[in-house]
Amino acid sequence: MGNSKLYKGSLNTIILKLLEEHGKMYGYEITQKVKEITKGELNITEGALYPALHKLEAEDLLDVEVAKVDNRLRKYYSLTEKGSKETISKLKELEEYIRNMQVLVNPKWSIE
Amino acid sequence: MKLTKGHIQELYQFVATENVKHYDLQTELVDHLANGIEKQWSANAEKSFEEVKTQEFQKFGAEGFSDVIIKHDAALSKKYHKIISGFFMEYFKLPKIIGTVSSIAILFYCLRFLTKESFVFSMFTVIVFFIFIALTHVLSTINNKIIYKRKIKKRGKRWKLEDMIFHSHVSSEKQQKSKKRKTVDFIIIMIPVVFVTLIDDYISSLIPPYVYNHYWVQLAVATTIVLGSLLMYIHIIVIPEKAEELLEKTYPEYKFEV
Repeated sequence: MGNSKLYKGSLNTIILKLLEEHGKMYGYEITQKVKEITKGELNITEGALYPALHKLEAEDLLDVEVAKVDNRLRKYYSLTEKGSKETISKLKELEEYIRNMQVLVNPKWSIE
Repeated sequence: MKLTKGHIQELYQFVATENVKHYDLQTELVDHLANGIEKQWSANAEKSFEEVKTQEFQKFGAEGFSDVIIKHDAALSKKYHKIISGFFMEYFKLPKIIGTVSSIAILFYCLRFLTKESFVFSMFTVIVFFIFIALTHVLSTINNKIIYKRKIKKRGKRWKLEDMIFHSHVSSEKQQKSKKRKTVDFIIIMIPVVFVTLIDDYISSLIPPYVYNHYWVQLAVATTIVLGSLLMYIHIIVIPEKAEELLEKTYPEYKFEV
């Protein structure tokens, strides 16, 4: 597993991005999708995922629907209109952060 | 291999014993554990239900579900306060703002009139108002709680937001303490108003009238009483009356389960 502390600040962005790509998803599906995309490098812990989903839902960024699947109820999350806008700005923020980090850890040396 | 209805019931009992008291969160965690168990069984069908259930639960960390519960409570508390402020703000938009401003104006002029007649009488009116509001708040909250407890006893399932609406919280000790404090805060919001009224005459004898005068004090008292009563009315009457609608909006499963 990767350094969870480094990923922690980006968890909301990861969730929003996944929902933007896949439409509606449920909690377990999100953990599995991240594992699959990162080939097991990044593991979203259950203890962090649900608080993040509930917070995003309380902020009206996510919509919920419930469906009956195999003897049980399943809660699906999808982006609201506000959530879609937030995804764009969060992704922009993250891209900028990655660019800055690259400059910081990998500066281009020049000898004049 | 898929989980049976019996397994799902066992999982509901298991999450309940792990302090997840609300059906909304129970349902989500049961589905999560069930998915994990089914995935493990697809790789190794020999493992027992208890064994895989424990393994999946351990993925939530040493603290179990406690962090998820606390943060779920916090998220819904935020939602609840958003609902309250949504209703509250309606009283500052047309047409309701007419009622809000008129109530403040009427109370303000009543206070002015009473002060002219007798300062003690005006003070007495404010205190009576305060006691009336505090008593209505306490009694209506108790009444709402009793009705809700009966409903829960009959139904069995609890939803977190519904608990909040009817002021009947079952959460961690830490959360309960902060909720109790909020209820008290709501009443003591009025205490400074009474206090200011009591010392109003004394202060105005010390400070020149162009700095401090009865007008401002009376306007502040009238505004606080009206806004405080409004907030109380939303808490104990408006939101409980709209409970079903709000719950169906928050929990799509609510109408199937009640």
